[in-house]
Amino acid sequence: MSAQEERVAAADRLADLLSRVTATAEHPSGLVTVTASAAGALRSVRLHPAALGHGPDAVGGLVAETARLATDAAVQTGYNELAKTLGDSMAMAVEDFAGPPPLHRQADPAEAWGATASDRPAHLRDTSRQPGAGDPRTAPGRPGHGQPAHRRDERDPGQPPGSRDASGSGQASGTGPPAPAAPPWSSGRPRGPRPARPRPAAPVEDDDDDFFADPFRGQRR
Amino acid sequence: MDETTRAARRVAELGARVSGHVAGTGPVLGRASSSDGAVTVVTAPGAAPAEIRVSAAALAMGADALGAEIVRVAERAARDAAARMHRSLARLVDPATARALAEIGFPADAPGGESEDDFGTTYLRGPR
Repeated sequence: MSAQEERVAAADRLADLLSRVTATAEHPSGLVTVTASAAGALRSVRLHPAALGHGPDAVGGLVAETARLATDAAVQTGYNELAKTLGDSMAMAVEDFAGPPPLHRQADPAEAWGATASDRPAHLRDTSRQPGAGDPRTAPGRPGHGQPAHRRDERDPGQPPGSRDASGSGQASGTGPPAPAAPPWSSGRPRGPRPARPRPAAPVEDDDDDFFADPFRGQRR
Repeated sequence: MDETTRAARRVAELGARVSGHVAGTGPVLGRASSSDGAVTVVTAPGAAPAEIRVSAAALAMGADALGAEIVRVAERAARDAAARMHRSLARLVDPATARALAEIGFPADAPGGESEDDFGTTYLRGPR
């Protein structure tokens, strides 16, 4: 089979695959779990009985918020499958007119932790939301999850995940608008802007001592 | 200019036309509600529900039944949104693109007919 035929066959499989992609997200409060497709179609909504005690308005808000998380996770999974099947260059071309994947739009990485792809192992669901836990989507042995293959190497290791917003719309710590009033289900889980992680200072390039010690250093680079 | 670039350019041009249309008419939204008004869902085409309203009486259904009802109403709202988007865009695109809209999940009419929906039957709420 030629390379062209392989690519056509891969594209055929991709269409079928993308139509079946779903993801499951659990609200940070644990009160709602939603499974949704990349088109936002809800496949299942599981409500914890305690959720009903928050009142009808809160229940509706919980489900809508969790549905967005699940949809974003499904879209992200679709992007990952796209990159794996068609290659990074084609995936980037799709991004050009379809917009950046959800992971690049999210300013708060905690929001990314709330969404889990349906094929994600169950043991990663709890650990992914613990503060300080490693990023399971970029962990070794998990290619194509969370971070698209064509973006996997762009992240600055000194920055938290999600801070490299391709559109520049990410909320910078302390410079964004004030956080809205916390909904009743978020008690005990502050989600305001996080303090910026200190970054190592850039090396000083105009050190006179270094220059006179080795005046031809720059020419050898 | 390769085929991908040409496709991206066509998509961008169509996107600009659609954006101009939507700017004048407002966003396309689909709505559906339970026959007893327990759950109402508002959603945009191809997106997660934008708003889910639950009545106080619906809480008596219990968690499992309420979750299933939300799924059912959300599915109808999504079909309504898809049909509205098709009708709204059909006047902006060529017939082949309109057929493609149906093929990718935005048919002209919601299949099965919607009788319980208490929204969207007036001209003022329809796409223009």
